Amino acid sequence: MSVKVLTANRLTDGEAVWLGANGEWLDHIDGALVARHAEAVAALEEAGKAAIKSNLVIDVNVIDVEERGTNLYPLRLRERIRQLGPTIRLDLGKQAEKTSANAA
Amino acid sequence: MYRYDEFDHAFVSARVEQFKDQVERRLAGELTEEQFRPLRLMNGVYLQLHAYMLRVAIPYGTLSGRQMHKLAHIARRYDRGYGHFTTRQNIQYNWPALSDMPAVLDELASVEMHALQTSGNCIRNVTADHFAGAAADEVADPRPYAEILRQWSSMHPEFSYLPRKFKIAVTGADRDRAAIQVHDIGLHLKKNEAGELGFAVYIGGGQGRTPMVAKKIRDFLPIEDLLTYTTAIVRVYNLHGRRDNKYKARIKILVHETGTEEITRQVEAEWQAIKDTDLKMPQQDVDAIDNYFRMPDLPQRPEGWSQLAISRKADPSFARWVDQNVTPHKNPDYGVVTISLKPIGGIPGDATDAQMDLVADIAEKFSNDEIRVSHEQNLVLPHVAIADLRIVYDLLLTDGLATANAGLITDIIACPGLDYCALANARSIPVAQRISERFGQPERQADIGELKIKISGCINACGHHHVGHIGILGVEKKGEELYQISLGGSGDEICTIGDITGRGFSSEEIVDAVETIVDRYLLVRTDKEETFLATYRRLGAAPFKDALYNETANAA
Amino acid sequence: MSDISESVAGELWGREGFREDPYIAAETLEETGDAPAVILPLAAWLGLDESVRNATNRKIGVSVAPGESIDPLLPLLDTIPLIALQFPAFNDGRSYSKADILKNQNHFKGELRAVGDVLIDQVAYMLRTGFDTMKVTHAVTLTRLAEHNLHDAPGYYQPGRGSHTVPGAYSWRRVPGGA
Repeated sequence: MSVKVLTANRLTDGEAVWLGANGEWLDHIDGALVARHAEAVAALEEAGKAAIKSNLVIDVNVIDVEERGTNLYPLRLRERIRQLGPTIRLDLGKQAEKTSANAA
Repeated sequence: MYRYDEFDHAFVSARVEQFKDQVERRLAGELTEEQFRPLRLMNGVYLQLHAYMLRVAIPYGTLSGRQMHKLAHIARRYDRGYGHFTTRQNIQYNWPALSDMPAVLDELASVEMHALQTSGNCIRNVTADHFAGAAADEVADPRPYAEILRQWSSMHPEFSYLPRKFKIAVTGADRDRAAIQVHDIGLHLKKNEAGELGFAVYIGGGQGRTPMVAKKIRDFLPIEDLLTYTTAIVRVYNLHGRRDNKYKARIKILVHETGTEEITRQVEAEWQAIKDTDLKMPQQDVDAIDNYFRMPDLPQRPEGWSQLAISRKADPSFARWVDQNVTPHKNPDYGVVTISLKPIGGIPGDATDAQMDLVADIAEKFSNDEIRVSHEQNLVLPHVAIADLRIVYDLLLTDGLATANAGLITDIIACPGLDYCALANARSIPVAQRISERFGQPERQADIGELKIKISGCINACGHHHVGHIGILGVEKKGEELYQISLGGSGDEICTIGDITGRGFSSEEIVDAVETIVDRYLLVRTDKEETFLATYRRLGAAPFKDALYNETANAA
Repeated sequence: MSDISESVAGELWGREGFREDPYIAAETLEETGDAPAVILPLAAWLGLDESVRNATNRKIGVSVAPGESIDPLLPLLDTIPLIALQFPAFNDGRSYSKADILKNQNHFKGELRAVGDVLIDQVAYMLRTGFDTMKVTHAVTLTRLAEHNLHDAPGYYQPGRGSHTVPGAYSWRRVPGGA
């Protein structure tokens, strides 16, 4: 079943971020606040508006994701690319940070 | 090359200072995103999927070694070590931070460059033939006129809020390498019977959702009338272009809906009212700008030809590169070298900082300090002595820049697509890479001959798919990438929009589909001399549709 | 954000600074009583009897929307005290072309006014295409205009009002100042 999370780009560097369960904007989708019903989605939208007002992020969107085990899997390819980085440059974007973190 | 004078320097510095102030106010929260967005776009700053993107203008695609070194430096210091050369002869950086933008613009200004008017509903960077000033077949160098138009269109008070963006292209040869007939205004510089220079004027071409070939509205416009006539065109467009629907807002729709005859009448009427105003250009001003673009004094190097014959014989790879990537120069001792940014399986148009530095070094030594960016996403060394071809080739070879495929099937144009672009619906680059790998074998490419594949990841058509001999458009259907094919498009002097073949192909099927088309072409061409485009024009779509759809059906 | 509140009616500004606005805007002449200076929409203005339009005891200006043609006004320019060109949104640029046609091509001597979404980033363009005044409601714009901070360029690549040529420079270039 698809659920929703809130995503945006950080104002200062444009980096893709997701709203975390802790209320912080996270660099990775893991730990994102998951909305499972209409009121929770409305709360996400409110949080998005507040974040725009406080100048932390821009281009805020609620997106559809699927819970696959402990992972969150965005339904649209666009969002999966935002989550990882360019599919043609695996050395760039978040996928690269994760690889180097794993390697370390 | 044009050099900034004090006026230009003051103008660009003032714009950089202004944008610095705006960025600071944005970061401090004094400007909202809604207020800031049009301001950052005016300075070429977009927001893409992963980060901000900065689009830097390279006026009519001309660069010096020093400028290219600066682009390399910016890639290294503020980005991730590379840049992407675009179909608008610009360069895009994919990862700069907003807070670094003022510093980047300062760096650019120090080498007489900027990012102004690379976005927004204004007159965009003026493009020109990338072989301008060098090609043997040229009537006159179009760049002086592109430079005059660049100046005149900079922060134009009347034309900064047009219905939509506005693109002007200029060519000075009968062979159109600037695709002028798919621009809002296309100018073809030519001589009349009296031997005077002037322009044939085309308007209303464009790609995007509704592709159109431009209409010629004047066969010969004297040079002195360039700015008054352009003003008349843009004014008619500004007043009457549609503003109710952004997909119908380009001048091509106005021309189409008004009719060529009536729009020509309106432009001519407006022109009559302003043709003798301050914008009529005195010859001395044209000459002064023209002077910047004089053919350099190239020393005689006749020894090159015999050396070339020896080198060719000794090294077939070098011979292939010379045949494919070197074009005749006005001076018979010289050649125009195309540096392919399409290595087999690579990303079209991308160059690393090291590659940019290498090209800059080579240009400084062997090409009179000049580089061009082509709308086909390659680089060009316009003035290389035949005697230096071997050493230039060897240097290019050291960093993967000597791919001998200019104009061949692997010289693919592709927009950034869904790997980077916030507007895209499907990926373009991986499709280009897979096609390139499929056809990468040199003998196979040579056998296929001239074939231009162009790929866009959305209907905006930045990858020029409408004028690809084989055009590919990526769309999103039920959450999956789907690719439509069109055939027979061409952006040259016989300009045509490609015909869509029929149902689209999945990401898995698309490369096979292209191969099916190519195989059918090889089967039905009269001989090796008949190019893909010529064959398509002779036979139409039928044999290719038959190959694509009937055989697939039979196989299933 | 700025603490200056938006001015609802708007302030009138010209090159010399803020000034009193004698005009009131109305849909019809009837609803203006005996106001001495009135701005009417184009259709209402064109519908007036010529004697009313040219009455010497009051000024009747005309307001033109971006989609409306100024052609009917061109033969009458000598008799019009004010033309207000509308900017319903800052990015609707049609009124710039009309300003140039009215002032530079047809030498309109009356007041040319910009009304609507007038923002600081466009003020310099408006002055250069021929506007004399602008009606401003936007708070930041009011502040910047009060500071006389127009965001203008040090030089222009086109002829336009409020600029002059420099000897020896390219014919299309101008610098600010003079006429």
